[in-house]
Amino acid sequence: MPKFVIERDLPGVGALTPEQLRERSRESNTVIRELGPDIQWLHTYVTDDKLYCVFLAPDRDILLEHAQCTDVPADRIARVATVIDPSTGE
Amino acid sequence: MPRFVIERDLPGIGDTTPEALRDGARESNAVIRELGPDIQWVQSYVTGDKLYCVYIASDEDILHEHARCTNLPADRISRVVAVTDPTTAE
Repeated sequence: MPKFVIERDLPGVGALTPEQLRERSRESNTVIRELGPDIQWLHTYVTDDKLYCVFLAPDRDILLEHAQCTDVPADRIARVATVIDPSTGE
Repeated sequence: MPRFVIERDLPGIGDTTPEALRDGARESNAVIRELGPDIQWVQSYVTGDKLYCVYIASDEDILHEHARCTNLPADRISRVVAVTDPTTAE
């Protein structure tokens, strides 16, 4: 399944407490479970005003549905062509 | 040292050949080696028109320097305050 990066503009999200992040993660997991096995949340980088979320999913539509169900924005959804790192240079 | 996410707007970057990505990674590695231990490239998500690059670095300045030396844009640099995933809910 393809990998996607989702940008979510959320001013102040970086100030959420660990408890709040845990609560949001729970909600996300619940929705993902309901949406079925075709969507998998890998991880999210939390910055001051934006989330970068990495998912496996068959297409954008299911990611938009997840965003709608969890009441978070999905300002940009980009399919990952490849992931590179320092070892790519060898 | 904190983790950062850098957005690099590069239209068409997703069509880059593996060979060109390897060359780009080599150049990046060489610059990082010159800049010293205060910057570490973790990985980059290559999407159609944008790179999302994850670094561990002392501050934004050294990331701007790396971008300058490698002739890459650094359109947005954000410090990562947390990384969450499905286990965060537990």
